[in-house]
Amino acid sequence: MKKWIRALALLFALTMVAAACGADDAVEDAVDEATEAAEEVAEEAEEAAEEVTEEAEEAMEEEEEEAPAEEEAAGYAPGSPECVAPADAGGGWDFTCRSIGQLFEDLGLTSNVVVTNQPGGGGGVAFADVAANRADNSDLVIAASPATAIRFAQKQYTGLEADQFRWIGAIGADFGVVAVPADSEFETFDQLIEAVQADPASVVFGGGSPVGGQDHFKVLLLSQELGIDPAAIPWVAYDGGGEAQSALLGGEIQVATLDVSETIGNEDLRILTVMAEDRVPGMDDVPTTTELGYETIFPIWRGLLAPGGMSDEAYDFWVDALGQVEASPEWAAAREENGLSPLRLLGDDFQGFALQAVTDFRTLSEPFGLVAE
Amino acid sequence: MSDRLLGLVCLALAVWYTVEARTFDGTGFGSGPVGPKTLPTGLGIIFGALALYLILRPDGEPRWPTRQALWQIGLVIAASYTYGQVMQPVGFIFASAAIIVIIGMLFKARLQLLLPLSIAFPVVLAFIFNNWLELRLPAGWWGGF
Amino acid sequence: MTTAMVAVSIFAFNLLDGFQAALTPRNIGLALVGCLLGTLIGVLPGIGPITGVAILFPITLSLGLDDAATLILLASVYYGSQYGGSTTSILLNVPGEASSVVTTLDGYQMARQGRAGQALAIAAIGSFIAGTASVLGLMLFGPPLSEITTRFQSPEKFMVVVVAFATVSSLAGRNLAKGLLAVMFGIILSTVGTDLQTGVVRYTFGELKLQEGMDFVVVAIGLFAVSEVLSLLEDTVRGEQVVFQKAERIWVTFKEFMFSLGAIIRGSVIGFFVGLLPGTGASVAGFMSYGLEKRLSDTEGTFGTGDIRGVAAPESANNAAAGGSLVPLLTLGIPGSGTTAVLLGILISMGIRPGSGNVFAETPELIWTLIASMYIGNLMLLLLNFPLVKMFVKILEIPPWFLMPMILVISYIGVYSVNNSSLDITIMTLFGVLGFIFRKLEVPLAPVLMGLILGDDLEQNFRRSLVASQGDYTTFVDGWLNIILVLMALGVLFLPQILSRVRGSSVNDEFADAGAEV
Repeated sequence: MKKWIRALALLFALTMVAAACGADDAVEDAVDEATEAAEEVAEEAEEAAEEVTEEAEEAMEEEEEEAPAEEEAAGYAPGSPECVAPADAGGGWDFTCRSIGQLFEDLGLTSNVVVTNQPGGGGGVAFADVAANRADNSDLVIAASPATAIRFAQKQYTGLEADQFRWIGAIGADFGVVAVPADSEFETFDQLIEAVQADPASVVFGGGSPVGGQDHFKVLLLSQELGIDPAAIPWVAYDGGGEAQSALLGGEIQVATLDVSETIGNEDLRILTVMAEDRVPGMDDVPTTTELGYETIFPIWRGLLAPGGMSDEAYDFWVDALGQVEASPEWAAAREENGLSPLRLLGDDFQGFALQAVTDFRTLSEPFGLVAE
Repeated sequence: MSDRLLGLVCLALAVWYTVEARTFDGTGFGSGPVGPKTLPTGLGIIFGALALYLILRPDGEPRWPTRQALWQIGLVIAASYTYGQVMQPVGFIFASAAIIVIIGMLFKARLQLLLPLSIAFPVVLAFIFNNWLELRLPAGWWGGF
Repeated sequence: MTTAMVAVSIFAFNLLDGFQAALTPRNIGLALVGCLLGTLIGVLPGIGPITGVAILFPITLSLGLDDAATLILLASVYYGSQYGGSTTSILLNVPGEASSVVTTLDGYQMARQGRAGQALAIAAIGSFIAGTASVLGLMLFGPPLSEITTRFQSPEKFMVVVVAFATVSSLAGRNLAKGLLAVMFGIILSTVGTDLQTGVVRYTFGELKLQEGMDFVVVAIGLFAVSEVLSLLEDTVRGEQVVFQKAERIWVTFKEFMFSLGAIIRGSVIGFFVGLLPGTGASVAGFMSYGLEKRLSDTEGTFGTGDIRGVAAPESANNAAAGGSLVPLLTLGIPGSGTTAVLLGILISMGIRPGSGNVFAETPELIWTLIASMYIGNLMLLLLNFPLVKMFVKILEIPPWFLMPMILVISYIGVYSVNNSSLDITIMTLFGVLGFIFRKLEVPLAPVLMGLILGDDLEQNFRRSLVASQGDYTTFVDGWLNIILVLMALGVLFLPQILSRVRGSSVNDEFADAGAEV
């Protein structure tokens, strides 16, 4: 509540400023009035703010008492921690920053984490800015997902390579799914594969990304494994998974490759397979690709990376902090709400995994001219 | 004459736009029945035709700004551009104060009224953005909020 | 018939439950705070309803409110920010988001004539009526209407966009050729960026920032607001007084209300139905309702010069579209717009998964609380309007020497804070200059924005249709729905001609000719 009171006070103060400049002839009166009002308001706001701080301090103390056994983080503590979401507010990367950032703060690992949205170029604007201007900033982390790895692989972040950044870790993963309408002729994944193998052009696929983007990559990987020419499979690109679902239900496309989080619990859809090794909570009755005998899996991990010039000390701090978030019940709850499966891939393990993914994606993209020169 | 000039500029844009469109080829996946070059090509041609029409049938002359007005408009443009460039190093508050003073004076402000407002207004805005909307504005010389 | 009535009474009953859950003194307080905050957010250009709600949601969570309270707060913020966006469109000619572009056309003219109060009031009244109508529509026809959503696939959506473009001559001003030039220029701008189908990058000059396309807000504020400041500066140099007429009244009379009622109702209906279409809905609604209203009612040529119906129609349509977009969200789990995507995230975090069967029939309490919340937000905004309008109209009394720099700084910083890019400020300034030149040459500005907003929908839906049909062009006239849409597009083009025949007057001949040329 307190935050809102402060904001209200500000709104009031702003109005007063506006009103003060309103009447040219009555400037003095208005200014007096405004000053008085603003002072009052400011006092109230201050009080409110103090209360908030007190509460926060109390909360933090409690936190400390609760978890004294938690291992002491490395000697580094970020002064003004910042999480860059390389996209607009409201998307997946923004979610990563806001939810993990909030937990860093709530668990007493860092002070208030500022989330900066830096959209453009599928993340390229943010990466270019960080690499050019803030490459040695140790307080800064950037949200990432396989889409990041794909764009690195296709050299879409002009002049930047994945190993110019330090990959901190991934906690939580969504998985790709292959979805058809509930009344589709395809009852099993094998039926679908049979039809596609018989005539790749006969089944229209679609999803929320262009050719060579994240959703289309699921088709690419599968068709590569099956030895089908992916270029022969029609692909319709939509502006996000929501539109693709609408097209699927309306029969414009027969199959959509989406994510678990987008489709979980939707009874209008039939999920043929989850592109994972193990069954996913909430989709316990859907076979995974591994169970069906395919190698292809498609985890959409949610992770963080850091500028290349981050010190080892700071890197260790962030790896440790992210690990603590992963282990917390709060993250477990947030993860579940958003249809993510558990995943814990930290530090060097993640660095190796991510760079390998970039290499694989590049190998796959090159024959189709998807890698920029 | 002005309309003809606009027509010429648009025609040039149309030609460049259409020529450029021809270079858009799909990837190894082909580009579907209608590729990425089709709409721009058609658009460029229609745009060019409209530009030609404008050259052939221009309207009357508008009242263009006087030389003095042009100077002042140029000043606003220069100030705006600089504002964006210096935002990061100088910070939101001082950059804003400067641009408010410049533009305010062009609109014939009294400096003694304008100066305090030019600082007060960005300070209030910065407070709202940083503390409540949690959108961080560059602090620059002000040194944190 | 009886089943329908039973259904209605069940829905009404549930809605009452929803209200009961929502209407506590604390929640009403939250609605008040939310509306005020939302208005403030909406007034800052660049930070629209989506960003506002997305940013505030985690903060709301940390406040530890219960679900109903959270929904009310966010719904109020949403409505408040939409209203805030209209406010700047009307008062300052700054359209903060796509849906309020057309509002500037008559709204800003009204403000200059000292009728800002009426414009703001009718916007609030129209929004409220439209909101009420769309809640009713949602309750009565929600589940069956979801059929419509899935019927409208890419070919149909393409036709809807064509219908919207067919209204362009109502935005074109005196010289139709220039109007068409403007709309084509807008579509050209819309092709900048990564092509959604093939991933090919077009017209970005190697600038990464442009890969995601021209930012609408940047272009809109440049063309409208920055160029307005430049124009007013020129007037000042000329020695002409830059003052807005002082407002005589700040509320609408009953007569004005009745005069706008038709526009409000038509706007609500169009908005609601267009809102059902995922993706296309929200941006088309305003343009379509304005265009149709002008073609239907503008017998004296007053649209564009400060006609109150020119504010009432698009504002109602926007609000109704927001309600309409809830249908696919709640029945199919399909978020049709940025805002509904955020809303979906919020619902999911509360344990509701729309799209799992019929959420209306299974009536989770929260759905009704949500609907009640949106309604309360709407009502609160109407009530707040009385004091707020008074305050907003005062903004126009700020002398230009401070108002003008204020507008520029707020415009620049609103966008900068969201995108953190100085390139945006440069682009905005460039479009300001362009807007200034266009004004001088009487090239209308609104069609540029129309082209920019709808150009992408036009191209992508066209190409999607053809990929899906594997190159078969008959997909566009396949089925009765498409035929109706084609007839609608033709109807929109020739409506003034038809109307003037019927009315036996020749007032509209100019427009009829204009329409025929399109």
